[in-house]
Amino acid sequence: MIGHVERVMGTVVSFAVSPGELDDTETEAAIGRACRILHDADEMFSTFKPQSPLSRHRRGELTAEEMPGELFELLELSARAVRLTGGAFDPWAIPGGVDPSGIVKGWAASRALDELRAASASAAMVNAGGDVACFGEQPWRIGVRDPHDADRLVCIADVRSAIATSGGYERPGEIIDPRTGAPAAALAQATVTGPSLSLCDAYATALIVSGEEGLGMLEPGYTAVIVTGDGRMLATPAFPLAEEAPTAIRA
Amino acid sequence: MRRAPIVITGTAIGAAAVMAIPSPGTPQQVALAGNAGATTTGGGTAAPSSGTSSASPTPKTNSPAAATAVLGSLVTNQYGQLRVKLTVKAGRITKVGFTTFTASDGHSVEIDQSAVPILIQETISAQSAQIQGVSGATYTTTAYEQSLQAAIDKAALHA
Repeated sequence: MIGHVERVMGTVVSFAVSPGELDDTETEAAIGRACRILHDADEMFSTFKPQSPLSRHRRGELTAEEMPGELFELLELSARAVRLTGGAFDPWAIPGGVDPSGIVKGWAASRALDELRAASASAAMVNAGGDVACFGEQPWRIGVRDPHDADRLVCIADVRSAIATSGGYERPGEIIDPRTGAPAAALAQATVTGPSLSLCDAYATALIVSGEEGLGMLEPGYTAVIVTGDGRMLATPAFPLAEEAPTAIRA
Repeated sequence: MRRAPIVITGTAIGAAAVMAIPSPGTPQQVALAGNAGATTTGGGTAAPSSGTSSASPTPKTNSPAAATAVLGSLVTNQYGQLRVKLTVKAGRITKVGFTTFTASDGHSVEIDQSAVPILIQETISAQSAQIQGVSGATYTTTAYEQSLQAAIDKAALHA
């Protein structure tokens, strides 16, 4: 397993790559290309950089012809997330213009992972500040943080594709209910697994807005574990809960 | 798939439900208590309800009508591994099922497709957990330094 840590997009992205047939040089080159993708996404979708294509789009300066394909793709994905979440996730509802930041990290991590897959690594995981995309023959064992205690886990998930967590504890008030404009805090934390990391991200944010009832909006293939305001921890029946004592079971 | 017959005695969460899974070789008995999930007491014969369970907090629900599922621990018998799930409504067990059944040949079957969420009762110490990554909101580089993910990354780099 080869590890790498990259500071980008205002967070830290961790890589774990099982090289398979790749030698060290090939693996490092693939990780380098994956990191390039993350930095490119940062340049393109930063709302802090006034000349980023997203910033220019927000000011109405980009014509349809000038719009990069990646920005178009991300906006299309955002629109799909709005529909799937019934508007509980809506990057257009924020004052100041569209802000798809909520799914950029996940989208970029997925593309970085695609690079490692294309390079023929046998397994890999990209963790972009808690948004995890992975592939491999075996699922990856990912701990879901306890929102109230960083030294504890709500559960461990056997993740095959993606897992994302939203919570209001690190930046309180950051998640806004698009339908009221008020800070959302229906849940202390929401974690979603499924095939697309961007959609996991959107669903997790939407669950913070809509609360426990929002579990019904998950498309087939998506599962969730939530922590309610009063501390209850609930998982949807298909959530891939891992065994807590892997040595006893997988020895 | 062969499904073991199930005998359920005792239906109130206050008195532990005893679920016997008779099997030809090694009979196994599963006691389901409300507070700590299921515990396995292997080797015994199928017993009638004892109703002697200890503390049994009724799972908290938002409304009396809301159903909650309580997930038991993993049970292994000669057919394979299964996990017991109780559905609790208004303090009473309304349904007993298995969430997953992994047969001895590794074939996994989803038995209970119920949409009722499963109640997780205890968190896990991160120190003892064998994990490869952490999902949780770590937004800033400063927060990363203090995070469990950073510790995992350091351990991987020095492995």
